[in-house]
Amino acid sequence: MNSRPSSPRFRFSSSAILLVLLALVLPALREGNGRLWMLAAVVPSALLLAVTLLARMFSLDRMTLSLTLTLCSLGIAALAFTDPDRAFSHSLCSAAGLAALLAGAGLARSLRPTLLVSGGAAFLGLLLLISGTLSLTRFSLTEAALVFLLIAFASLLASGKSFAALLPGIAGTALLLAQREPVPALLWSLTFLLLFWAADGSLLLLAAGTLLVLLAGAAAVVWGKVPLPRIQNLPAPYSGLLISLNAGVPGTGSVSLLSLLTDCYGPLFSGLSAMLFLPLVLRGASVAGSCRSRFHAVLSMGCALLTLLYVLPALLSEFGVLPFRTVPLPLFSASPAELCPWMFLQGMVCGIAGRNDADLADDVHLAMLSK
Amino acid sequence: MTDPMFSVAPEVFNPLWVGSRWLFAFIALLLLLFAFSWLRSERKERRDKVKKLPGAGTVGELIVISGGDELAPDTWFPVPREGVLGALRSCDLVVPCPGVRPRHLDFSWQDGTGLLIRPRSGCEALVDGVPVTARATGERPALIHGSFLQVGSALLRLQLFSALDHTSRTYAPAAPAGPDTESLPPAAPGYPAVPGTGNPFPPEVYPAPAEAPLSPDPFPGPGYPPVPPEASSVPVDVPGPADAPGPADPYRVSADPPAPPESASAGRRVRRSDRWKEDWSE
Repeated sequence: MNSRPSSPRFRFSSSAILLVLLALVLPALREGNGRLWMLAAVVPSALLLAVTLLARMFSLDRMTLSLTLTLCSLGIAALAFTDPDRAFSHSLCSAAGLAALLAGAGLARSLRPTLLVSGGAAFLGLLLLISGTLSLTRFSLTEAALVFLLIAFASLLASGKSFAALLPGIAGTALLLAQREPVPALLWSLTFLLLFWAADGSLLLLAAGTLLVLLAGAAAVVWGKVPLPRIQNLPAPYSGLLISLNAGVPGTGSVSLLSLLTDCYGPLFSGLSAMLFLPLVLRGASVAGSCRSRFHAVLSMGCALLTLLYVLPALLSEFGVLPFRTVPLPLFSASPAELCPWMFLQGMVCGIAGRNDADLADDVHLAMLSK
Repeated sequence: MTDPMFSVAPEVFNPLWVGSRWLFAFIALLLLLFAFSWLRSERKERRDKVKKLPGAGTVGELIVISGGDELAPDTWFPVPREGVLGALRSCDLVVPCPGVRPRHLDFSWQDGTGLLIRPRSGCEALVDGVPVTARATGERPALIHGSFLQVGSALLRLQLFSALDHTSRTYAPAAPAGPDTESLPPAAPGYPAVPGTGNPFPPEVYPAPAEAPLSPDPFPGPGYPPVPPEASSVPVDVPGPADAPGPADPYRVSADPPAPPESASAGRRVRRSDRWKEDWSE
């Protein structure tokens, strides 16, 4: 009797569910905490339901969804060992993130590159950054602002307004620098400049954009808005110099879940878990390559690029390669203000992938009509 | 403090925990491998699907009527739904003719209207004889089935897939001196004339079905090079009525067409990308 080989999707999903189940059962066995046992039952079940039922109901990309939810679940498992109550609240936060993911998917499928979308998204993004600059909120709104700025940028670029597309990018960079967040400013400026070069190709405008970004950075340094990072374990002359310059990085207040995971299960496991970002980013890039419209292609590639550019320095600082803290690792943050925007971004990729599949199904239908 | 639920003693838990580190690392490694395997299989599946649909993502073809030395007549380009036309090879439609800028114009398909074009700053194009620039105000002309597009020294003609949701109009070219409504057949009842040209719109007609070889002369008219018959790789032509109703053959041009190319030959239709040489100077 010939047995059909299992599909890669089944193998991945079942391994992910098994890993999450074991990672939650272990702390539950140690603590005997009812909440941990509940998490051990609910989280893998929710993962299974999401990658099967939700993906089918909302036509989401299963791969992106599986990877995103697996990473979120590992974050819950990391907290479960040290702080069960916090793990429970993080699971609720992840549920909110899942809702944000579904919202992102729906929005990505329905958005069109119109003036209303461009203006509205740019307004919201800049408003969030301004409120962060004026310290109107206790939590960081940077990631949420970057999501809206990305939508505005993609919409303007797809509408053919190349110069206007640079404006939200440069304004966002300037506001992030004013907010004393040089690393997100650098990552955001890299993202939108690379996207601009890939989508538009106008070297003149690209040079103008780069120059304006450099000017904004120089102005921020001159006016003392850009602090140098607090560097640890440096030789004495250098650390003394930096201390004298009043070095410091604004803390985000979020717990580093990857470091918790490293403490619980070792650096090998946490390193391999962190490498799951690579197929996530590659999938986003692959979705961008299959898009029919420039707007969705720029949006999808922007999500993938922003994820990659955030993950790299975060991992380098987590594993001690960079001697200072940079940005929180996407999807591995206990703060809802940081987790939900990343889930929203991945949701947009899921939605765009679903749209691509629908376009291909239309072509198959057209081909059948012609026969 | 609530009574703990099922738990194990530390002397049982500790070796379990140590062993789990290796087990979890192994499962994480498997997860990574399965993720890349899944990515690879998804890409392969999509590639195989797209291979069976050569026209997937495209709305039609642009056929070269005249293009100088760089573009031979009968060359055709598959037209995607959105993209850039220019002389650079990285453009979606590569037209390396004199007068064509590296990125000359943007085009996008609009259901119900046709192929909208937006020339970039400092660039100009002619759509059915009407000049279109980047600064043009008002409604931009859309390319419809049979429309001519002139960029630089290249003259191209658009052939759309009939299964698309676009206007049922088909462009019939006017005399180069200007529209001469007196020499043209009257408009078919119920169809408006093309604004500015006075050309009638033909009744609904469909291009030749994909099963049969391409009609040797889909745009018949004096002076146009016939498109040679070839097994079509475009799958989406819907068979239409054999006899097009209406007062006149919609494809027959009564006025003088634009000057035909000198080297009009009924050779094999060659895709533009087949002629690319390995030139990385761009």
